[in-house]
Amino acid sequence: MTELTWPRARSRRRIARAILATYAFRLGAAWLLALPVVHTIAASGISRFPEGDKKLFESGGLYLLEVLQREQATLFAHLFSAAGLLLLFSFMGLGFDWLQLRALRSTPPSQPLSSDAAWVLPRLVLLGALTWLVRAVLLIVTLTLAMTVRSYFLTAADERIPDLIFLGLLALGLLAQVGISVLRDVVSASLADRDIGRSQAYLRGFGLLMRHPLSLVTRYASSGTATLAVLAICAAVVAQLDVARAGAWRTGLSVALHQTAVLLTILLRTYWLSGALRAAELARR
Amino acid sequence: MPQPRPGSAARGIGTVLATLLSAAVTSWGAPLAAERFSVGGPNAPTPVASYTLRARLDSNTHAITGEGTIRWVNASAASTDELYFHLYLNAFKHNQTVFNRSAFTRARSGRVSQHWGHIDIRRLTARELGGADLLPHLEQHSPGDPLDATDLRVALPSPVAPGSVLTLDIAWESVLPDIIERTGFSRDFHFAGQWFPKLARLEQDGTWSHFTFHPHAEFYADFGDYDVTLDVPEAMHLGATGHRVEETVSDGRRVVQQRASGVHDFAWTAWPAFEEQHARILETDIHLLYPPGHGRNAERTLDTLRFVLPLFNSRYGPYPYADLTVVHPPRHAGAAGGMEYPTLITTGGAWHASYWSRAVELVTVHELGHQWFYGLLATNEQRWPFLDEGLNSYAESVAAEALFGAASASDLLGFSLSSEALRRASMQLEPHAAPLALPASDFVSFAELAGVVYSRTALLFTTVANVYGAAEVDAALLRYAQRYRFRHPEPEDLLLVLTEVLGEPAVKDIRAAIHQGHGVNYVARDLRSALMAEPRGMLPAAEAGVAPASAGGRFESRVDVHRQGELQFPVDILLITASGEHVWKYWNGDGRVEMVSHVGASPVVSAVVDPKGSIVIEENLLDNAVRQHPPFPVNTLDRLVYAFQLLLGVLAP
Repeated sequence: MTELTWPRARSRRRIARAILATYAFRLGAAWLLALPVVHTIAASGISRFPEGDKKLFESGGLYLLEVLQREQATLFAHLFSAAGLLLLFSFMGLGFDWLQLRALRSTPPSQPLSSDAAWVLPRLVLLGALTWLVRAVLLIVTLTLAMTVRSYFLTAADERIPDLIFLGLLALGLLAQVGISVLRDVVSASLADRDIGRSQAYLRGFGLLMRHPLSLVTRYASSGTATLAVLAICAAVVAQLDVARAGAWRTGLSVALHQTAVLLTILLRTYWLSGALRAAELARR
Repeated sequence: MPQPRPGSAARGIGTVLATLLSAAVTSWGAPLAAERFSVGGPNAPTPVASYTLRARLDSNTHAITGEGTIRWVNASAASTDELYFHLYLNAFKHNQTVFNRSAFTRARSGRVSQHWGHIDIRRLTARELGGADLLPHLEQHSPGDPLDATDLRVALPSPVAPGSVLTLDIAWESVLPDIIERTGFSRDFHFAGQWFPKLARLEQDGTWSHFTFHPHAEFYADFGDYDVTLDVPEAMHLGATGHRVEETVSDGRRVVQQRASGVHDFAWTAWPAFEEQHARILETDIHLLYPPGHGRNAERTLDTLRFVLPLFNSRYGPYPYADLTVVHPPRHAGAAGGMEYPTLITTGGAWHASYWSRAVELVTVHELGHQWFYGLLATNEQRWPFLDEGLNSYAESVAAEALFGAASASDLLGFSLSSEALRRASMQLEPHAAPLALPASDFVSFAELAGVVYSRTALLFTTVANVYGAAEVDAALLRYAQRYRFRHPEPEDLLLVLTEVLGEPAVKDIRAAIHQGHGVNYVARDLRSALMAEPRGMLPAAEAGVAPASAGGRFESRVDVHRQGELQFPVDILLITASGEHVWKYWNGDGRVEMVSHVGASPVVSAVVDPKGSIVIEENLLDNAVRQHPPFPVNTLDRLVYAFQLLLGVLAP
């Protein structure tokens, strides 16, 4: 495979718009999902304390458990309804992934946005559904295999042996899930190409992964590792910030850090998608 | 020595008699093991039921055949013409025993054995009664319950007078069940608890404290000296109550002799795969048995003991025995874990538990605490489980906080939980307040027992310590533990000591919680503020000196604080004005409602009852505050939006 380089010929403004649109969509969707839960917590009485909901974050979790226990019926109801919305929003997120892919293309799109969207989005939805199906099957197979193999070692004198075997098989399953993610994104990049059919796009994506597994997985993994690092750093800094302590600035900084982290994870995904798209474009030539 | 309780002349006389008898019966026999108390000395144990036993384990059939003698002293003030034996293993004999018969009250595991266990007495004679064979007089089932055989009565051919000794020669066979709770076998692991015929306890007034073995209940017995010889396959590693005095190996068998003085039970375990560590903490030899792969758990267990044993020594009096055996059962025998026996405790947890949780440390703290609240203070666990589990849960909370701080129960990925938070969660699973002093069998479920006996008791004592002073509660529990060491205290004994140290007002609430199940909830309502009006109307003349002062643009604010429930803990009330001034008020808890007022240049915008969170036994903490303009919970919104944003990224198809 030729080197996966960042495409030069593209509009940076268009990419920025696509990234911001993705971020705005995530923010809006997350806001809608969170709002009923937040209202329940506000109604629980915690906001009437002088510290407000900072009490939920006090060390020891006394008030957090109190709220969760007293409001559990309402919270569960909200979470069940949120699960349905989450599913819907996850599929809607495909459109924003595609927006990024479209913005990242090395050649300007020949069709208007609406025409392109009408053509590619059904294909992406089908790919998304297939991906979930394959992921679910893989998960079931992994768990079944891991539990079955573990059961053969349960009589080992050292209890670590069956558990480590179980974890090892889960890790293999996780690797396979990563492979599916890579394949999905490469196929997504190919599906955006209007010159080839759906099955050709799948075959191209699969062929790319077979021919260049190391470079593709490395790029995906580097993006994934950086994402995990961003999240870990964010968690550590926010923990040090300790919003339970007095000072509205702590809350403000926590919001800023969280949103920066989300934006960075989107940027890192864009970095990976650009690589997947570049690979698909090279394969087309 | 127990103090006579006011208004209980009969018990007072009984106590005096018991004192005299104690002096008499402690004169026989020398101490069996090198414990740190002198027989006949102050606060020394009175050996009432002593066992000299020899038992052999068949690891293939999981049967224990045993024989020996029981030396029993009638330490009561009355003659008795009967004995009661607890044959706890018969709880696992079939699925119609009291222990097993209901699917809704089964014990913690909720399971029934697949391999039935039982215990049968094969020989029972009494030397002092002319060698009378008592076996024909052994009733075949628990009183009034033909399907249960855990509580058997033996009629004696002639009465045994107070102070008299009865030496019983006994032989029996026990078959261990597969472990569903505490005792039994799993593969080649064996844990023998309640494995021998055990005499019930004769109270001072001559009544037997005996009971069928209920799934919620634990045990109760007299102190005594144990000399037990165990014969197990050579490959077995063995741990047992007491001190090892001899160990021989021959013909493929390991024969171990254990002695223990001043204990009221004897348990042991045998498993070929045990790994062992031995340590000495202060003057106690620790014998730790654990499965392969649990090295980190073993380290954590020993570290915990190094911290908590001296702590408990200082709080409840020194641990008096030379040995403490700690058994961490393997995963497949996990139901044997988390249990206490004299000088032997079982812990538990997966091999990885100590990498990410405090489960190993907390179970070690809890079971060690039982060496005082059960072991040395040998309360009736069936009749008043709160005296052992409840007080011990409080002791565990205090020790866990000393060990780990506010995150005393868990601290994972920046999310911490305190013991109080978990105990409140447990208490609120069963929100109706039942008396703490209910018998174990009166609770409708183990969850209710856990919520009331473990959690509500611990929260009550934490509340009392927060309100009346931790030092005072510590002093009271130390006095209680010292006064009733090697005795069998009852709730009134505890209340007596608490009254001596804390005074009647505090104990009134404790008594009400213990006996009536009373609770409390404080509610802040109706915060109002108004600009005070200038005096006007037909006011007295200014020269009379009684004219009201000018309002001067000041505000009058008021909040109503309601007390729901019967407990009356005094509380602080914090008022915060619009200018940020903090005004502290105090309510002694009398009455149904307190109207808390404040006059000042700035209106009160927020009020909190018990702002320091002292009254952790409150039914609802969330109604303690009132505020004029509650803010939107931005911190919650921040976390939830962030979590959903990340989820949307992860779940993208």
